[in-house]
Amino acid sequence: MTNFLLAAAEEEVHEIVAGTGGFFGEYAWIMLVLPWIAVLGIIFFGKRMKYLGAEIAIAMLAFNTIWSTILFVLNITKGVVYEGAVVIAEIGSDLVFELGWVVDGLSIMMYFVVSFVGLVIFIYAVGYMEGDVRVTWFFAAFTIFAGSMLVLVGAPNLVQLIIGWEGVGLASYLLIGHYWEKKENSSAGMKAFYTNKVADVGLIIGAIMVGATLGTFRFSELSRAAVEHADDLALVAGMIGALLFFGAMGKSAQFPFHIWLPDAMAGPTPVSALMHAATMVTAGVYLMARTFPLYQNLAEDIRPWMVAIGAITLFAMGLLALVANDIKKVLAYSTVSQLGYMMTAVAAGGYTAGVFHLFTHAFFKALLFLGAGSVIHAVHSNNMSDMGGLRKVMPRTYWTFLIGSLALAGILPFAGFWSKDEILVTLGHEGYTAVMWIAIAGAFVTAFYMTRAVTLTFWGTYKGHGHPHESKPIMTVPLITLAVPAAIIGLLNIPGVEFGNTGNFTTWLGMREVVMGDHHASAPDWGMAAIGLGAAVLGILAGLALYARDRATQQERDEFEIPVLYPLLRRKYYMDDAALGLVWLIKAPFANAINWINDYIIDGMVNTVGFVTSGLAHLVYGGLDQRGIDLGFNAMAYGSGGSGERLRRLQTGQLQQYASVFVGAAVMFVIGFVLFR
Amino acid sequence: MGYDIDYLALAPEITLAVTAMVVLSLDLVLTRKNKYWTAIAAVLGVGFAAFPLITLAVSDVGARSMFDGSYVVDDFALVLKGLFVAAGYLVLLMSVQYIESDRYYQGEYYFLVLMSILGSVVMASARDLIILFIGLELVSGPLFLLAGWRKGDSRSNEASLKYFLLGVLSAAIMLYGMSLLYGATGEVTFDGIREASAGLVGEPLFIVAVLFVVIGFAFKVSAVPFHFWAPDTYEGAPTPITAYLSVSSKAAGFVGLLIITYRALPEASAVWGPALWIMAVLSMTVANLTALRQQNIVRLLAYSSIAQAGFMLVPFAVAGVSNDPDALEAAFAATITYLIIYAFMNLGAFAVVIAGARRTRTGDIDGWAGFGRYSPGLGFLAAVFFFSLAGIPPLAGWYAKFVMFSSALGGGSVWTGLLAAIAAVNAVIAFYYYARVVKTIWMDEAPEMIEVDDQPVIGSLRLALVLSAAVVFVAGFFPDLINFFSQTTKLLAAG
Repeated sequence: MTNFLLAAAEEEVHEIVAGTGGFFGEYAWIMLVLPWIAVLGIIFFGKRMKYLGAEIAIAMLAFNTIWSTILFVLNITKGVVYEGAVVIAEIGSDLVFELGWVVDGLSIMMYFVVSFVGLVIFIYAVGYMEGDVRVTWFFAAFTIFAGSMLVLVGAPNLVQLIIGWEGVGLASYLLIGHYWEKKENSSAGMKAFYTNKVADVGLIIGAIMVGATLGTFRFSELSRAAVEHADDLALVAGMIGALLFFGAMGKSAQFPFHIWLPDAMAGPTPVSALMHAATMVTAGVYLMARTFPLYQNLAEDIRPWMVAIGAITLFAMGLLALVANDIKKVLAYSTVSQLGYMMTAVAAGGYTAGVFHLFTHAFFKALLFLGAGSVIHAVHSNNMSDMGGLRKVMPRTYWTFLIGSLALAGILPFAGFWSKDEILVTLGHEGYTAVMWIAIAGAFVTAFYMTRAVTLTFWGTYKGHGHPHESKPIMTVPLITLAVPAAIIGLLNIPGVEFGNTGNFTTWLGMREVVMGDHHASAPDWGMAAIGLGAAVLGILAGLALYARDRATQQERDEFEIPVLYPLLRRKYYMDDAALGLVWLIKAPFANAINWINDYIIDGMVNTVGFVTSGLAHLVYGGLDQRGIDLGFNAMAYGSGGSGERLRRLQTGQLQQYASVFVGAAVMFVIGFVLFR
Repeated sequence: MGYDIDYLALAPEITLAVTAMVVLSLDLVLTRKNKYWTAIAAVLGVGFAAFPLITLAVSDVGARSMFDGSYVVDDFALVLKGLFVAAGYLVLLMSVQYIESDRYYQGEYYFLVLMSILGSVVMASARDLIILFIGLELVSGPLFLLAGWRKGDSRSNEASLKYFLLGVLSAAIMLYGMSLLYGATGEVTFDGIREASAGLVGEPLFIVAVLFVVIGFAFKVSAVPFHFWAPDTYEGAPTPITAYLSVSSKAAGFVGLLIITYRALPEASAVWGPALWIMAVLSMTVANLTALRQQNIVRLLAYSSIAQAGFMLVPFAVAGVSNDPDALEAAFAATITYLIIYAFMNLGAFAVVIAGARRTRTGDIDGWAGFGRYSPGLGFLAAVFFFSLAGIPPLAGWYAKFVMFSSALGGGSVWTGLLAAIAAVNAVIAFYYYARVVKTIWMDEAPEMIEVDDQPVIGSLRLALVLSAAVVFVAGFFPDLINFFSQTTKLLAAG
């Protein structure tokens, strides 16, 4: 037994008693290394195996699930806090680059979620991807995806976190563009990649600033410095906090970086399930939770801004789910909205509330995506307008999807109710009353769009082609497996209800070397629960009223559009247009400048040559000569091309242009340096 | 003092020059069938040039200075001469089969390559403007011809002409800068320029001089925005010459840049520091983004080598911005380390492309699909060299990136921090296109009509592959070996 310091929880300081997890904590690095061995195994032997390499990935995740379950139990019974690291190299005089593994309440929870949810999704994927192109390649990339996330959540320092972070980005890029024969799919992959790269700049600069300020990249040192109000850190804490949050916004698809996530639907459905549940998008929230003491103690000034961004995300993106016709897009916008809840909660000071919602959301969102995948597999379309009436032919999919929807909508006693309620209570307690009401309105919207999705997909009559039938057991068993936690896992954290002397989820999550306490009620706030539940029930009733009338009006109900709101939502608040416009705004001056040079200088010369030639032709032929004029006109036509065309032709292969750029750049350097010397 | 010639110090240069003459004479007397002896003579001659380097390295005499300090053989010169000789040796090995199958002008080819190697070896010792310029032109002159060696191919002619015209333009700019430098300081030796330049830093004329010289070398290392020639020339030139251009010629440019900036113009760091900062950022970003879209493997390597040059410029920018002498030395050593490691991994990558292209018969990356399945050995080496270029441990490339980052992080200012961040983002982007090649080679299905193993890789190319792979592995596991060489060169920066 080792004693670890737990600094200020609310106002009082107390110590927590925790073990190292013994063998399972000290060798937890095996969980981080194993996926990479599995990747090599899949690449080299996958093609020769019966399930084309999937069995290696599944065996690896099964092993990790067992290992993390043991850690979970150890954490509940004794508490586990352990941190191990291997020094890889020294950077400069005082910094070191280490790889290692953290085993504490937060990371154990994440190990478990990634391994367990990943395992179920991988098994499902064997059925879903059957007969697909490049199955082995898919499972290799899928394993990299899960493995990078494990490296990320196990990271004891920012550098390793960034390595995992980029690994997740690489794998998502490969997987979103899995069907790369279609151009829009590979551009969706590129969009995800570029959006995330912009945000990554924030994370990387933030990490460098942490290293420069503290002389270490370790989270535990960062937390300790934050708790102790270290002067050097306090000076730049706001900036570091903002930069790290900027990075988290990209991965966790917070407004306005959310634009990549709905497009990421282009990948196979199991990829969406894993991406939305356990991997990738939760990374940002995880980073905020990992560095929670920094925000709680030093970077307080920026927290209202973070709450605001979370609140915008949770409400505005939820509305978008109302108008999507693609069932995966409905779920995608719903994920963005739920990530908004998590971010709002963590930013407002609800460490447990935010992470608990991440935990419950992982189960029911994975379930919903796999259910959607099962439906898509049956009807061969993503559009809800091609579905309907599937309740009877796909009973297992229907019932599990319904449980997932109820959990997401926040209906008692399903998982989502408890975690959402905790977020509402936290927001109220921390004084963000307005945001609390936005979150309640968001709960209404959530219930509304899920009712719409369930009604359009499973109720009414079938509108698609062919005869859909229930998926094979290899796909439905995972659905049932996930439906159980989606239904009951919220019970782990009922305020005031403790499991013997081990506390509840709040206590287990608090097993960290340094953690700032957050508010948690000792008894359920039944008033808040009633308001939240009421909003959800209202949402369901509204959805039923609009979308579930009798069969005669089905056509009408499918096409029903809420006035005013619809045009706005259909165009996604013009966000994509705005992003394009922004790119144009940045690009236009350069394009114009280059165009100007092109039109007036380069083309001027070309035109002159053209006209001189034309004039010469006049002289030589003594009359109007077609060739001379033609040359002149050709030259002018050349001059009036569009600016985009000119930019593309930067590497034109034309020597004169290269030479003019060369000399131009040299002159610009000289002018710049002489002027600003 | 005086003009006594230290023949031992000049032995590597003399060996190379004699070899070049022997090759040229052999070419005259040999019948067409026996021309391969010119290749053997060239390879042996470059090999012999390594011996005096070793004896010089172990001798007790420190720096050997000749011609009033204009030509110095010190540790810095020896390490870089070693690099040039080794890289030249590998390029010759890579050339044998390639040139022989084209069946023309073998003798001249090897003569010109040897002259170019000689030029780079001279540059490493140059300690005044004139010798530096002569060395540089001796490197470039033969390459103008060699780039157009595939005379039947119009792209090769285009490559040669572009390289020549832009090369002349850059030489003119650099020479103009050098003459201004001489005008401003009244000195041609670097030590003289350093002493005379102390009071000149704010002078516009001096700034112009410094910038023009730096820009001349920026052309050589193909830094953006002076890089336009590189992709077209690399694609059109014979592949071994492309390898030479991207490694030895680039290294020669960096050697010139290192001597000029650290030795001759440390006082003007406020000028070249920010200028190279801008070029480093542009080179990394522009080249990496463009490389993402390339379909031809040689063009991809061309943009990759521009991006790598950007990474190598990072320590320069750090040195220019930082005033800390420790940071300055670290930056100097970082560039040398990067240069050495880059040379071997890039040569290896080109060797794989040369060997592989005989089987895939295409330069399109898509044409390499499934290459690893029907040619596992080369496929494995391709993975090794491309992952090393991407900087993945335990291959040598990681250490190169690592010293570059630690020099940037050790700079201790906002600008160096920002530079480190930009470099980090670029390192990630670069990883994607390197990984894409490896993915195509190992993951994609091979086209149907490939005949397996119809083209064996001949011994000399095999040797080149094995040697560069060995360096990439050994340096990756024992980076201190490379570190030892780069640390000994630090003395030059200290002045």
